[in-house]
Amino acid sequence: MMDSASFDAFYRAHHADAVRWAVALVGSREVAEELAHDSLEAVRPRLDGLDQPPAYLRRVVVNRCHSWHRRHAREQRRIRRATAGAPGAYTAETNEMLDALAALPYRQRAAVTLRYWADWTDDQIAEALGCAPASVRVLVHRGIATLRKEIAE
Amino acid sequence: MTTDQLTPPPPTPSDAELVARIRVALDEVAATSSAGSAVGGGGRIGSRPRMWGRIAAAAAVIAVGVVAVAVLRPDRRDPLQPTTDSTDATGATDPGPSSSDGPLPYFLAIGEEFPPGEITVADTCCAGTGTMMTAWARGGDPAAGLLVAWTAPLYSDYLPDLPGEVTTVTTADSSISTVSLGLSASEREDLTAQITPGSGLPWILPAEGWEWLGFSMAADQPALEQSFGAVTLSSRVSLEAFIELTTATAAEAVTVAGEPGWSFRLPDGSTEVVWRDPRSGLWSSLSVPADLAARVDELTAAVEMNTAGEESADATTSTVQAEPLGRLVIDAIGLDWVVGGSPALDAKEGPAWGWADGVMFIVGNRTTYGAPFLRLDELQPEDVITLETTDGPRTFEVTLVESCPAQLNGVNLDACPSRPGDDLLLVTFDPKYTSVARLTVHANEIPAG
Repeated sequence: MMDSASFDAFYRAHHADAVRWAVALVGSREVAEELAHDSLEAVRPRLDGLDQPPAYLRRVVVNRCHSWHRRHAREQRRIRRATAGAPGAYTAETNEMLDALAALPYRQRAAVTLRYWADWTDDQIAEALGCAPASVRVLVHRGIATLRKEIAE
Repeated sequence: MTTDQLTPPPPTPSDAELVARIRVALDEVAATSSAGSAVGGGGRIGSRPRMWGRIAAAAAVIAVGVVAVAVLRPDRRDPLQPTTDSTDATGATDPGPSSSDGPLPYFLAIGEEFPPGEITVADTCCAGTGTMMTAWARGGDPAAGLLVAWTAPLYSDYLPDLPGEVTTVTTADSSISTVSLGLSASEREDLTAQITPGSGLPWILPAEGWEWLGFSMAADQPALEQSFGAVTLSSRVSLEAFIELTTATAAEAVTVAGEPGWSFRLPDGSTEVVWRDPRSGLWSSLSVPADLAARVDELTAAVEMNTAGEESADATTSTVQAEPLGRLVIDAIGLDWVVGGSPALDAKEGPAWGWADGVMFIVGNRTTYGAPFLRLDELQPEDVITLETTDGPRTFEVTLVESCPAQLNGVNLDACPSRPGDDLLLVTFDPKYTSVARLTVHANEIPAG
């Protein structure tokens, strides 16, 4: 296993990115921090053997956020509703967008937010989702179409 | 022409506007300072309380090394698609994945505390992930031992990040990975080594006493989910959900809607109850969050088979006419179909027609059996509908196109209510590939002459 000093360096180099990616995927800073930390720890045992650790980290973050999304996205929406308007809560427009994003199937949500906010390339998205780059374009297209409908209602 | 015209819909946001809004929203989320964060300049966080109690152990990958296994046949079909004579070692047949046009097969009958919510299509995937999955249970009882296997092409260097211990066997052009519940590491390795891809459909596990469960979900087939308060019913058990079941801390056999099922308590305190629908052969699941764990038995007992679709179809077929109506032509969407070839609401021979509350209806399939009503959503008020009957042509004008959630699932005439002045309703499923709502086109007849 990679020694502590090297892992610390890896952690410092990639933590902020991992949090940002998780924010895109789960829509909550607090949850994103938790998932980013988990992902970095999960990657550690394999770091020595990998050609491209950042690419592997991307996939891990996407998978962990997917598990979280399946179990908790609905609950997160209830929390947003319950805390709307409280000091420190998000704006109404942000809540509306977070709800709309949460309504997308996970892979569509991932493709849209990773491309348009986290600035991943289609190849990076494809590799993390385990599909072909052409499929990423389909996911983005469908995701945007669904978002448009959700927001317009 | 009716007086209450369809008000113009609000301008839909352009793509660029939408993207800008996404950025603003996520920027705000990212900027929120997270309470208790010790990250600052990048030091590692020590132990923090878990927000959602997940097992902390990192996945330990047991590399078994390369084991010679039968080379996959180059023309191997997707093992999730049944052949006409596909049987497994125990003689059970897998009916294969059915189309997503089906209704949610179960519902929760437990009262106001768990009201039926929206039905959503869960996680449709991009095509071609190349992942195929199957599972076996010791003696047919997943609680006694569950082995889940999947394969993925070797183009990727990376093993997926998974909970639990994974055994991987590499073949010439792919790898087979397994996770298990209730098996020791050596037992899992031993069984994994016996999985023989390319030997038949599904993969054969020749070991004694292991029954193939037939779990399968083609990557591009969606599942339907319906929420009932905090509880969720799903119409399929996905690969990820199944792998997660192997992390259960407890598992036991239960009965669900009269069928054998299993209840799995997961590490985060939630419970997943799964069972097989005897009608379709597909698996359904009930997800109960951790805070309702004490009521799992009560909730499980409240699961009932959804026959509403079937019942309503019986109730309304009496209004479906057996004789042909004529030819339906709608130039605006290039539609040209004979109506009335189908004696039943399922409209398998083309659109069916009849009378409901004094209004003539034509109901057609959206995406199946020739997809006659695929583009019905494109109709606009004032579009012309022509019906060529033996009594001569009849002309109608669209007044309204709308979509209403259906109270009943499946094939039934659960259209949006008819409006005063309606002479004709065209009805189909909405959104495409599901049956959760009814797209309804209202039209008035324009008298000839």
